[in-house]
Amino acid sequence: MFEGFVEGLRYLTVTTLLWMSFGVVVATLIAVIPGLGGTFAIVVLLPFAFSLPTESGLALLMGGLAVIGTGNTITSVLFGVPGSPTAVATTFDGYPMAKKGEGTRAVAAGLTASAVGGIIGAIALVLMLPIMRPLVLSLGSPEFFVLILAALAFMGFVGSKSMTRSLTAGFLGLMLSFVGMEISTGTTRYTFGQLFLWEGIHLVPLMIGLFAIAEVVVLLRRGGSIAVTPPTEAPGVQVRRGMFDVVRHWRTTLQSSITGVLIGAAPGLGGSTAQFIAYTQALKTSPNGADFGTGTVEGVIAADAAVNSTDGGSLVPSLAFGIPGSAPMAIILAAMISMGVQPGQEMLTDNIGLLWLFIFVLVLGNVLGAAICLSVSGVLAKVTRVRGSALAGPVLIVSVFGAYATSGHYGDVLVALLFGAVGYVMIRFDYSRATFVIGFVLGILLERHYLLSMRLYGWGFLDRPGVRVITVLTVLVIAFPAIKRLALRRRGAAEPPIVAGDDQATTSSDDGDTKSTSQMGER
Amino acid sequence: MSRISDDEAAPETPSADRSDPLQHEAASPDLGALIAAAGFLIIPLAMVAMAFAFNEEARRLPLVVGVPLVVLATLNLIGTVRRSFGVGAGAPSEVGAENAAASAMSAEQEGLGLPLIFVLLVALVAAVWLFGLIGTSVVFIVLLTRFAAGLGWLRSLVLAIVVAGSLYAFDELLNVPIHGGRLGALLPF
Repeated sequence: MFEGFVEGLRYLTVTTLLWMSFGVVVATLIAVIPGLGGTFAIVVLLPFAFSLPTESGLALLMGGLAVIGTGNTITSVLFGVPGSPTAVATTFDGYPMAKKGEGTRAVAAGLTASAVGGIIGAIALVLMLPIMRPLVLSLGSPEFFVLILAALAFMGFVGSKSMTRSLTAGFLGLMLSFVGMEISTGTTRYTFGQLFLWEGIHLVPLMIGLFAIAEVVVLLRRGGSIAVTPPTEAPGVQVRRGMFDVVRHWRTTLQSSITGVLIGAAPGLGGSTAQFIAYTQALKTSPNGADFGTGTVEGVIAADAAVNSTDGGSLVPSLAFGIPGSAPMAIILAAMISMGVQPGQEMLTDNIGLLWLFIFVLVLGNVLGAAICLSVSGVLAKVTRVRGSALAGPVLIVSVFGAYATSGHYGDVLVALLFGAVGYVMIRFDYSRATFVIGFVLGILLERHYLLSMRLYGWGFLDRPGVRVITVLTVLVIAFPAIKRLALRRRGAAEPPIVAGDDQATTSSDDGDTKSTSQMGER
Repeated sequence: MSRISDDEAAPETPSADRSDPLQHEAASPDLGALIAAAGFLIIPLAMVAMAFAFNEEARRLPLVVGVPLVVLATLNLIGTVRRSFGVGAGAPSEVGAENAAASAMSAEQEGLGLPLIFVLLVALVAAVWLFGLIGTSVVFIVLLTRFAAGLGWLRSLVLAIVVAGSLYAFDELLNVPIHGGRLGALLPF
């Protein structure tokens, strides 16, 4: 272990660091542009990586991987445009904060949380390697299927005031994920004879429409700027506050980072699932949970910390077993093999120095990426105070560019326009776009793992111990608030000397009940 | 159980600013909400009906998801009808109320009308399809920033050139596909 650490340090030369920095800068710039995303950033870096010595090439790719969840925090927060599928949850609280004039604070908190999450992911990678092998190998499609069902079960807690509207939007998203070719039989569903829909509705045009175009319509309709409240603090103060928020909410940061690591370690799930699970987990466990979605910094921290920490987690199955945990990781894995670096046993023995290099690069890349973005966040936040109609043109053009860049088919631009209209209707009549996207993203994975589970085990897959454990844990998490309330009520009843006969205390107890009842009523 | 709202989350806004067009619309008896709720029912109904034409394997999950969705959407429609006609707790103003804080800065500014925005979007998509993204972006940004936002000609032009130049750079350096347009080949840029 120690020899590997020293060898990793030896690989960390000035040349390696420079190439890592190049990867960080390029990936950060690409991640800021909606529609391009992390996979694209890694693909762009590939030609450079192949022309370099192995250590520098891999440092370049790892530098890029480390920050693909960092750059898109800026557009998610300031414009409500998630640059990639992994940045959707950041908009839930980040964009409302920008509207309240706290955009810089939200960006700073998100970036700091991203960096901390990335570092925790790297540390977790070191700690988890010895124990991850049996754990990862014990998870199969049935467990992933139940894990996704668990994420969907939380869908009702995210969204509009009405649970019916929230679930309707979520189920509609889930339903639309079935558009395209059914993988086991090759049947085309809801494609209306359009070839480009055979792959299903692409996520990026859908998100661009739902978030970017719909928000532009709202902005043009309303007039004024994105930030409806002028900032009460200078950008520098907001940056400091945002960074301090991550320390203040250390529990959320740590919890979301650990969630991200665990989800990242599960092949095929990645940051897009981790952000939702970490967000809803924070919503349910935080004392400020009721404020989530209205512009609370904790929501931004929860989402961003989880996304970047998945990188560390996704390296575990990728390097130890050659099973990529995400699409960018799959590309890096392919590049590694092309460069003659084999994952598996060899990675943990002969190439242990390279493994440590990855860990160093993950840490350094996260810090560098956050520093770059933080240095420009104050300037970018000023854009939110520009009149909306002046921003609308560039945002719409970039949206069309992002939608078309997804697959190079003009149908995707039309899809973005269609979902722009849907998004506006959802905003106007309070249907949750958040649950819609959660349903859509998880629906794609749900069917894949369901089909695999049925093929391999039939209905017997429900009897697997992993499935049972995840199901029980999910039920417990959902039931936890009710159990907590019951326990509090019993505890209140069990303290007669203080409570009994005390009008004030009784009122307080009643308040608690009333609040609970009204909250349940909202559902 | 605490619940959160989306970023468009509508806080209670009984005293919504009348000068905010969205707030004003939300306060009227909500035919739009009814149409939206009906739309959210019709789409899944059509999808469920279409699912019966698929083979058994392909229709299983669409039906498992679609049937509860139809039930949910029906409940939603009933709830919307009740709210729209003042039956039950929810008031029409609750439906779709925009962020109350929006009124603070936009109160004195009149936004564009929805039909005009719709025409702009359709015109943009059609123009990009016909003339390509680069050329369209210059014209579209100049027109929007000059006439809708009231920026000067020079600033509008600079902004348009910066955006179009960035897209062009991406196209050239990173080989990102940019729609050239049906008539794009005839244009000098």
